[in-house]
Amino acid sequence: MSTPAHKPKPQSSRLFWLLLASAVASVIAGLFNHWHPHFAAEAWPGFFAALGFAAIVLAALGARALQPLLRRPENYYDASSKPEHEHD
Amino acid sequence: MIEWLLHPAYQLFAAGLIASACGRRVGGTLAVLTPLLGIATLINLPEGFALNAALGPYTLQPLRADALGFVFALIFLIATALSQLFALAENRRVLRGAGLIYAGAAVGGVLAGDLISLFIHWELTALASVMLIWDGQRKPDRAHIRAGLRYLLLQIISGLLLLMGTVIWIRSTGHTRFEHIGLAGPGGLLILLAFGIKCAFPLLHNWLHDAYPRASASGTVMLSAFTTKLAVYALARGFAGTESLLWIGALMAILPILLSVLENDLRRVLTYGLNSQQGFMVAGIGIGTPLAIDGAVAHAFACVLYMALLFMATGAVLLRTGTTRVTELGGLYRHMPWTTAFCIVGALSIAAFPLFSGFATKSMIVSAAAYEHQLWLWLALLIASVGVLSHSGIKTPYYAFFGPDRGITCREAPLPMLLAMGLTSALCIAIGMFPQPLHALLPHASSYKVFTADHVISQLQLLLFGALAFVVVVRLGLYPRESRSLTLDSDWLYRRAGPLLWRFAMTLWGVFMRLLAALGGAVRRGGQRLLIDAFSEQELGGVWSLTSGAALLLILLGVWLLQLL
Repeated sequence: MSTPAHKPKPQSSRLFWLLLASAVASVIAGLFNHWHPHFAAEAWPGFFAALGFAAIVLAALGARALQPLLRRPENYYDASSKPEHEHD
Repeated sequence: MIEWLLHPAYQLFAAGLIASACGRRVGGTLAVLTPLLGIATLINLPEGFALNAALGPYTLQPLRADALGFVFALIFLIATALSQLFALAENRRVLRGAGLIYAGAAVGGVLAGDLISLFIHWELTALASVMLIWDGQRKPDRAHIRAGLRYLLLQIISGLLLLMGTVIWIRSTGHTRFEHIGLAGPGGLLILLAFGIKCAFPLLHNWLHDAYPRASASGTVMLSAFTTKLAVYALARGFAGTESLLWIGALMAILPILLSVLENDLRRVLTYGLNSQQGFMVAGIGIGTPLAIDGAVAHAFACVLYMALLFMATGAVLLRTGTTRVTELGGLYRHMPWTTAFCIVGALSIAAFPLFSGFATKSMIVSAAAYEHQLWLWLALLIASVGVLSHSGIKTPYYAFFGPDRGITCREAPLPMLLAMGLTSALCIAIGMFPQPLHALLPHASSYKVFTADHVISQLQLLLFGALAFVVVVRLGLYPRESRSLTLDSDWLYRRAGPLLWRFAMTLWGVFMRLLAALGGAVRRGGQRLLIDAFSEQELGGVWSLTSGAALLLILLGVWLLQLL
């Protein structure tokens, strides 16, 4: 059903560190920025960073929780007739 | 009569009819050049130019070129030219004929000045676009045809709701002009529902995910551009500032994200992305301030381009590998480097990375929500801005072009496709870097500073930490594994639950009827036995029977006498 997880290559590992560095840099930039907030939360240090991180984690966990409810085999809707070939 | 050819939609209709009858060289050239002619016509229309016609006591206005209609007509014509260029690679008559007529119907819809013309073009988009869905397979099988019919049915229902609302509107206002309607206006709810179906409101949205990914590579590109944006235009014109659009938009922006994580077909993943982006525009229209409306219109403009670009990239993958399933793709960047690069431009645009088109337009809507102190809407839009990474931003480019290598070898996309993708990418970057020309076209021409430190830093934090979370979640094995599966959506309600409920109701009805028949039989048999018992030979001579018989006779006599009086 699913494929085994693949090992990260050294190249993608370098990309990860680059991503981490730029993410940290964006938070530091936020510390030095003079915010013009409409909501108090906007000026909290790292507010947008925390929101971004939490949103993706919650989306993944939420989708995992919904998985048994929503995932079905590909021929679910035409199980009685012959299977559907979508892309000939 | 000649001035009717000044209507870009009629130019497209004429070209569509001719191009579907011609071969690749003539038909293809006509298909790519006519939208350009349409753009030239549109730009040079005199200020306030309108075409009018009379229908009984009412005036029809098939062409009204005001600022709102102009922006949408312009982006539709640009999208037509780009998608027809892309479609040259597939070279199919249906793509040229139905594609141009579909585009013409959408252009006619946004330029229509009255509700009756809008209704005609509204239905024509449905009829022309279903051809593109059926054309997805050379020999459509039963499932494919049924999917097209489901799509057509919902689109026709949308048209009928619009017609009913229009009739109520005309009867109570006495005019046909399409202007602000509002939920409280006569027929307002019916018209809002009609727009809502085409706009893919929550629970009215499933036709989008059911039908669009079944079209051919170029067909999906065309479909992604017109129907949903025609609905955004109609909402912006008729329902600006309607409060219920706030929570509808917020739900629309967030809900598709969860489903997109589970989905296996990348083109279906992208339809969830499209649905989520529609949510931003609907929310903007709900806020209703000049900045919010301008933001919704600008975002629609940008969204047509980057969605087309993403569908073009996945379409090129479909053409070359025959599939867009996550479980079958991976490592294509070695074989399709250009397509990979264009797909990444599309992904950065939809993710609203600074200097790409989404950033210049989406931030207007998010800012408008903040200016109006709509805290919950603002938070929902921010979450949806990050959630975009989970479908179109990272998932699509990662699983198609990088990710686990499944040993597919294929060629780079054909030249017309690369050209179309290159031009679309250039437009996405141009809007992202120089948003002023687009902002100048907007109906309220609101001045908005895109590149402030607040916007750039907050957006970078959101996206970079979202991407970081994506990597962490995938490495920890918490991201749902890719699997050959489909994801249930609200179409389950009428594809499974509806028929099941119907069968259950029919069974119940059958049981009820059988019970009724049994009861009737029992009563009949019981009555017979009673009669037989009462008048059986043995009892007939009895005293009781004799007296009761005499009593019965007396009663009958009495009744006869009574009626004589």
